[in-house]
Amino acid sequence: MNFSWSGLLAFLHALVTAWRADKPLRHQDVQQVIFRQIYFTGTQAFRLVAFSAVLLSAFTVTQSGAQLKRLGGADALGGLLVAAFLRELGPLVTLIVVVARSVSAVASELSSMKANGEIDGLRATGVSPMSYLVVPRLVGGAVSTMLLAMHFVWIAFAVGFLVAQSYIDMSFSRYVENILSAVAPIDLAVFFLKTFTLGAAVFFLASYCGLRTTGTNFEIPQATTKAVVWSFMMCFVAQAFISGVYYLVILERVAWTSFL
Amino acid sequence: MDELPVTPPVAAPVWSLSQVQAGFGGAEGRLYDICLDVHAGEQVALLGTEHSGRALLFRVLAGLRPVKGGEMSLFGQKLPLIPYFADWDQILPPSLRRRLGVLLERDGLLSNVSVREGLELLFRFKNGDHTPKHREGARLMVEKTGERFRIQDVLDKRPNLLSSAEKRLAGMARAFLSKPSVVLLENPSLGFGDLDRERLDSALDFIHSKGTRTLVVSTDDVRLALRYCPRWIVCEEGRVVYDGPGKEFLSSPHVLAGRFQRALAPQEVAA
Repeated sequence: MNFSWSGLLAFLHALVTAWRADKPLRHQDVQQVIFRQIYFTGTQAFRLVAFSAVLLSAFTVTQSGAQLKRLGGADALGGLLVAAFLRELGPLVTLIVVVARSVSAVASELSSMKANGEIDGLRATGVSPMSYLVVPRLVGGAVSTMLLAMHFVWIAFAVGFLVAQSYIDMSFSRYVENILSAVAPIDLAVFFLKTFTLGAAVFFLASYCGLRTTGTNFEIPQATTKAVVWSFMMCFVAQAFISGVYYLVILERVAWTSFL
Repeated sequence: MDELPVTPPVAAPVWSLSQVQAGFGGAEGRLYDICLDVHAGEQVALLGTEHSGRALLFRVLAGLRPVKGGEMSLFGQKLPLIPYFADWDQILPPSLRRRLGVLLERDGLLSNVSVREGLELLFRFKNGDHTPKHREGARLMVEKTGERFRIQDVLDKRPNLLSSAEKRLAGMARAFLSKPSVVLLENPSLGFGDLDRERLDSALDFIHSKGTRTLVVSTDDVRLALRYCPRWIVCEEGRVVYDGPGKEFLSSPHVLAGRFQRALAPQEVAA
């Protein structure tokens, strides 16, 4: 099973066509699948994401806080945390968790449905697999990824404050002021855009890998592996690209030195 | 002035295939230059040995495999050729798909819900109705169809807990749920032992009893084909080698006719 741009574009075309024809978000059954997907991808992954946020934030503030204080730059901590968690690590770590837990699950679920003949069964009864299976996973996955990343960021900031208070005696008001002065509206816009679109993109890849199998059981692990590998690659490349554009183009225009 | 002779309206055939070519993608399972018409109310059996192209022809008729060449029309509407890599979703427009009821060899019942929930969900989704009244309508429809196909006892079970025969009957109930005008059954007798055979006959009798309904049965069960389908289409190596009355084929000198006769009891052959 090799990567094929023509197959990917045809899959996208089929998805858009089904979306326009069926208007699946109006169906109550599709809405139920979306809520289930949000539960599996978002709610069940919350503890893992929170755990990652706690550890990463504690390590970051412990390592950088003491150095910044010694150099007399404790007020730069807010900018550092915003750059680290809001712009880079928050979306990336959340996507890694989502790909590892849910993308693999979606790819294996869809490929085993194909192997069991359930996809052909749906098609034979006039139900579009795109509308009933792919759309809710895509929407639910994108919303869950965005919500999980938001939780990651606030937990990281909260833990950052606790560590900063004990390590460098930073007051709450000073910490909040530091953070708020470092956050620009464009940061929030890029954060939401990045987490939502990449969240949708990884579930799109998972559905594509799951449904492009020919319906044999030995393809199920292959589809799962491909979905995970391609999703990771896409996340890293997209994250690097977006960050490059962000730092080189956007921050250039709004006096980027003030953000660092 | 003489009146023009009145010609009865000629209905377009349900399927019209001309020089149709199709394939599963590999070297095996290909169809070459298939030409046939199936008219409303006909009962047709598709027969053939392994790798004869019967399963592929069934899928082409059911709108589950795209046609690579030639022309195919369904209910008088010409179907566009679709490239193989674009075969992700529905090939047929919803207005045509709604008129077909299809039972596949692998029943394809949704495995994560009970049979009842799966049938109700498909009924609601297909009809796009979600008001409480329509939900109740879907529930009643499933209940009624379950009784008709004698699966009411297993409606609340998940498909993995059903016997092969019950799965086939649930698949038939699903194909029949929206009261289609055309029913396509792929190997309906698969999974039925001698003890369950009466349930299958009862289900098929019910489908067959609607005289105006077009029925296409892909099967290797010669007895079933003889009982329900006067017209036989026999495939061999991706081509149609016979299209006509089943009884005439059995008495023909074709090699396959001899093989089919051996599957029947002597008194059935004599009859």
